[in-house]
Amino acid sequence: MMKARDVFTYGTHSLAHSQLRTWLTILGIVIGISAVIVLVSIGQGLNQSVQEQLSQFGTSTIIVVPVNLQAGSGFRGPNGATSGILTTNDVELIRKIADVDMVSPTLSQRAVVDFKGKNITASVSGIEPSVYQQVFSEIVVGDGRYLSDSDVGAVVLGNDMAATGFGKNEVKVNNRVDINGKPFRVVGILKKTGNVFASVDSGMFMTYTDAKDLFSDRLLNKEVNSIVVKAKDGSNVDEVADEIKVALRNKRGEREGEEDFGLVTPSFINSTVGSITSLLTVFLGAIAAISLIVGGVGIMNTMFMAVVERTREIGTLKAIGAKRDEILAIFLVESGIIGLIGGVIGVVLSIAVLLAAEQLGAPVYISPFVIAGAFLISFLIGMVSGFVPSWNASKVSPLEALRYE
Amino acid sequence: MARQHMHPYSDGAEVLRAHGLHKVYAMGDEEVRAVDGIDLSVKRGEFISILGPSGSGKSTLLQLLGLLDKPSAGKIFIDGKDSDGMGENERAEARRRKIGFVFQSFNLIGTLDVYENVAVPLMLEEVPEDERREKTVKILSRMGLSERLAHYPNQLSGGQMQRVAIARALVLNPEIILADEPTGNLDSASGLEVMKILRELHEAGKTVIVITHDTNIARNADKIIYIKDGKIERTEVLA
Repeated sequence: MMKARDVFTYGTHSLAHSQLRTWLTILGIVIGISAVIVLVSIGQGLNQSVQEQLSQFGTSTIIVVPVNLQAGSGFRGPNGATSGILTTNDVELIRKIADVDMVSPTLSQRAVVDFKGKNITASVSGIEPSVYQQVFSEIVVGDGRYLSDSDVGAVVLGNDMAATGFGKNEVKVNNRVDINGKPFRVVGILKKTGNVFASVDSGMFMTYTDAKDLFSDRLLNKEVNSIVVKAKDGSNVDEVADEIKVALRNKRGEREGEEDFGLVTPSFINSTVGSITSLLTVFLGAIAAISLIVGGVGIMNTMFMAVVERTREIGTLKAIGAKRDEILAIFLVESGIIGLIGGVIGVVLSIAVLLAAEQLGAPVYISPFVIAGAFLISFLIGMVSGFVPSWNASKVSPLEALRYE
Repeated sequence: MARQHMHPYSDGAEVLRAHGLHKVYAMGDEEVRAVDGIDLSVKRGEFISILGPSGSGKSTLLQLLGLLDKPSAGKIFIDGKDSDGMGENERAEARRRKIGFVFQSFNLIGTLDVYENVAVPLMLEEVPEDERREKTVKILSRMGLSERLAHYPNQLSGGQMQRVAIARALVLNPEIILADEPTGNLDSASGLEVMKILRELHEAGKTVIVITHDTNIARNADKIIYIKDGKIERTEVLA
């Protein structure tokens, strides 16, 4: 068997003299490899940026919502109810659980807000300021001050809401806004979080007591929209969540799986969002892989033609003593190199594209694993696509050396 | 120059022998007996021409003697070894080591330069790099091509290309040179030059077999074997 280096040298010489057709074949692989790298990197970048934003959701935070989050995919209660009502009684029940550090009821409602004669509809949250700030680390005051638990008639605005929520008029600290017709004083404006999952930037916050008065006509007695819970440091959040679940279920007389409420925990978010973004990455990668397969078919086509055109050369090599597996190796490596050249150009091109995309603000994560994988895959695609043509080449008879035209 | 039936260096050993050789092709419903019972013995150091018109079966005989094809019946012994028992790889090795092929249309590899073309058999034989360079450069200088190492085949004249091909045939120092119409694509001056080289190889002790339809070319050898209808018509010893 020929030395591997000689097989490579032979293949590179052939390619150095190759025709436009070979370069077009390489272009096919370049497009395929670039598509895979770019889309997978964007998928991974998206995944990473989502994970970063989710990490702002504290690791000891649990949010209880009045909707069964698993209901869509599973079993429904006897009367089919998958959503119910949370009350301040539930808040007190949760407060009694040993590993619970803090509990806060939360009201979230849409309200009509007027500022200097401009009306908009905005999301208004009633919170317990001290608990809320300890639970959500992204809440940082930019201007003015944060809410205190004893504030009355005071609001804090998210950064986007203050800056652009009311058109040209930017809301400043100490301005007055009217919410559902009642006057409120803006005591603070939050720093921009950039988090697209929690709508802090476009939100408005007031004390739970103010919100309860403001929205009393829309809420049942004692009704809350959600309950924010902070587990004690060092406790197992998932276990605390289970305890809360059991307590609420028992109080309601519900069986497991039939809850009319749900719990959002860090692991729930990670698994849900993580599986969505992973799915997205796989989906993007799969679409791109199709173009890579098309590129492979291009290599196969080119190699079939090359074998036909080089029948005489192959016959000559055999006549002067090349064995079948040597011919096979020469052609396999040659098509592998076509793939690899496409891979190298594709990697360079896709890194350029990704860096440009990053400049434009797209979340991008260029993984060295993906780059290394791209080189390997491009070479393998070349070899796999070239296998049948190379096999044909290895079967060429040495008599072809003597077939003169 | 005195012509010798047997070269003084020759030990008279048989390097190639054909025994009852047949090759039958099916052409539609008809059978073509391209080689129809040939017995042949080639001794070390002989210079033989196989002469015949086109369709005489001489090309088929070359294919069989060169182990490029298998006979329908009969045996070929190369260096006393029966080629029947050889597998595909063994036959390839025998072609590489024992036979140097010279083709009518040179069959150089267009993507390789002169040096690389000549080095192909050494590459197949896994000869180390230093030795490869030494042997290739030496044989090419013997062919008067020292100035052409980096030229590609399409930059050479026909005569030069055939000399590169002869260098490639010789580089592994095979026992037998098997030349198929080696002057067929050359002008007469280049043709004479190629025949002169083959003559010199013979004088240096190589066994040379030339297949041709041209009587003038054939007369360069020490012995002419006339082929007609797949059979040996007669053998003429020139001396």
